[in-house]
Amino acid sequence: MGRVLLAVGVLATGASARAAALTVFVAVPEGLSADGLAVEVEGSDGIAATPLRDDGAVAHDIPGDRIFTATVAPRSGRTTDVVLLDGDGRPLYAGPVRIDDPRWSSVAFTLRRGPEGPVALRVPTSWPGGAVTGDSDLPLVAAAAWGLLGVGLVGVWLAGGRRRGARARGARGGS
Amino acid sequence: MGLTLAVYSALSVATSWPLALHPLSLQVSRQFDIYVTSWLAATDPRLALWAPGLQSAWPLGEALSRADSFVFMLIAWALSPIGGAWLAVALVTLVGPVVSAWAAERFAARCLDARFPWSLVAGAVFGFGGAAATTLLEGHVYLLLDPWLPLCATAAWRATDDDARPADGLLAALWWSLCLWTSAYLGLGATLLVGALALRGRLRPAVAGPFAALALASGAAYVALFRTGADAVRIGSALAGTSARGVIEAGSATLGTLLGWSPWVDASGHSIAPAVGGGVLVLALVAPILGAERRAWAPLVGLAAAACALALGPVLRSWPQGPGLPWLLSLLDWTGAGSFLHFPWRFMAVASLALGALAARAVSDLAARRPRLAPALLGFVAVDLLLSTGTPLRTGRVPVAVPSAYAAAPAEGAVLELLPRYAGMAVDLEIHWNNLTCSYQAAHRRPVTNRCLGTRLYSGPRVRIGEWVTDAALRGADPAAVREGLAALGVGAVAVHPDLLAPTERDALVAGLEEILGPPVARSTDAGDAVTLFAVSAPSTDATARRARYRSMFEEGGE
Repeated sequence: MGRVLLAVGVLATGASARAAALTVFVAVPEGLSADGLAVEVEGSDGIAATPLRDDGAVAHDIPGDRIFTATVAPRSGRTTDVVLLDGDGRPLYAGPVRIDDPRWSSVAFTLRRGPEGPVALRVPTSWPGGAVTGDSDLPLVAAAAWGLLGVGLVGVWLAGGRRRGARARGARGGS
Repeated sequence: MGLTLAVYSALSVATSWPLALHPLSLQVSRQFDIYVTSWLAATDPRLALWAPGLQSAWPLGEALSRADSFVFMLIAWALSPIGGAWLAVALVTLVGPVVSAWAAERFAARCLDARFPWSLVAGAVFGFGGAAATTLLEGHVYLLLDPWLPLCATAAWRATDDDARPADGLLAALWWSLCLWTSAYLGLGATLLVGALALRGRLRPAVAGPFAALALASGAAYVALFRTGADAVRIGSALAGTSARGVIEAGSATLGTLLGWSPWVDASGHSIAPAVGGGVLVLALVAPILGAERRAWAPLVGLAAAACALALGPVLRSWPQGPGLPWLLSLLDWTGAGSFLHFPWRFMAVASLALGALAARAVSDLAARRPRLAPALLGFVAVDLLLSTGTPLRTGRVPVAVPSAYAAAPAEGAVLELLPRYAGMAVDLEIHWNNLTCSYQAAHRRPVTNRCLGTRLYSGPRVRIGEWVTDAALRGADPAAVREGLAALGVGAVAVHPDLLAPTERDALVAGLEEILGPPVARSTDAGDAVTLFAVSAPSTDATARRARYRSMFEEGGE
């Protein structure tokens, strides 16, 4: 009876069907290769490797900043085993990561050069913050203001030239 | 002079409000460099001017020979017997603009014949304009004490007069040197200024000779001192050609920020909006129509135009975000040394001096023709400055405090700060926390592993040792090996800031550290920063062994 109630409860909350998203960050310093970096976790369809990219696909990430990211969907649970692979399929890291906080689940690594090739060090991630977006209208305002200033200066210059011309004509007429 | 100083003092109190009420317990800058400014004020230059001192970047150390401002270092050191680091910061923030504005007002009055009170415009623009506001908000407050640039302009102006004496050249060189020793950027700006003013008249060899001799001697001494720090500080970022463009782009003005500021500039643009103000700009440009001599106007407008062009850095942009065209300083990409020039916007100090003086002359001429119009124009310039700089509404109100947990750090050994990895738009927080925890040193007086002069992201002993410790704590590495390593590196305390960490890793990291180092010796939640402090027993006291251990652990594999 207890098992039935548990199954009903699980189905009612949808917990078994919902996989928590895990964001993986890997900082790759200049001079180290990120070719073929991938992260392997067990999802609902079995173990799969997901390539890491530096394309800004994760919210607030900046493309081309040498922080490679991937968002994976491990099977739900309190933890999942994460394996970080280099381009040759060699594991750089393997270990458990907590994924039980629905607000934010993440794991971060930094690659460093080791005696026998790159090594991955696990580093703590920050509490996610908001991002600031630029004021979309301000570039237009700035361009318009500089344009007006330029037009004004050209106007002053032309008016000054006309006045000088009139003075010169007046002087010639007077003589 | 008394009224001039009174007006500028009132402006200084207003634009930095409420600093005057709490000069030792509050700071009003918005950006993180204020913290390394206070750190610099707390250091003893005798310990680390020529060779790497161990106050920071433990166990390698950092030499102060690459500090931005030697003049500020000297002032802070002189003040150290009567007050802490924040006294020097508050003093240059409050008094610096008054002195700078007074010198700019004198330049406008003596060299451009601007009459009092209209000459006040020159000082207001130079001491309290957009460049000064950016300086205040970004935290490089030592640049606010800059009477040297207007004094240099005054002396260089006289040096190009027909009746110039050799003493005028010597005086110009003296002020030029003080610009250089206040900041290398001011030295570059002063060089630009002297070059432009040399065009206004004939510079006789009897005047140019003494100037060149003293300036060369001072410049050579600066370069020699700078080079002594080559192996310890900033060498990586300074010579990394790939990063040079990014570094100077972040410190450049744009067409938009030359006109004004927006909340975005403070949130993400390092508060860089060195605007001159449209009214001041127009007044300066029409000055010859109103009466200024073209021989005086042309070099100053040319100087301002050149300074504005250089302040735009390597990319001509309408706004910090968005596309741009390659611009003047992009030529530095070829040399790879562009990141020595972190802050091209600082050229706007030169532009604001030139344009402010010309605007003062224009208002002065208008006052002679239309006496009723000039007071209104003075009000207009004041509103123009207020709108274009946004001070005091943009200033921060940040209590100066240090978490009490640091008091429990052992007397021996350095403090290692464990900070999270930031990514994306939040990456500036890495420098924020690095600099803030540098400033804590003024209170706890222990060495820190942070780099407090080198501002490269994710490098230096704090990052390398920190990565190693956090990796060990999160993986559950052999506790004894980590304890031995930390002690061998001379680390006496490890500080964690739990509120900064993602909740899924916070508990695991603290639990891992407890496994390695035992229970924390202190926890505090005061000063706006939760800190959990762990102690490391018996840190090494052998400096050579500490450095050797660091190099074997972290440098043989490469940075």
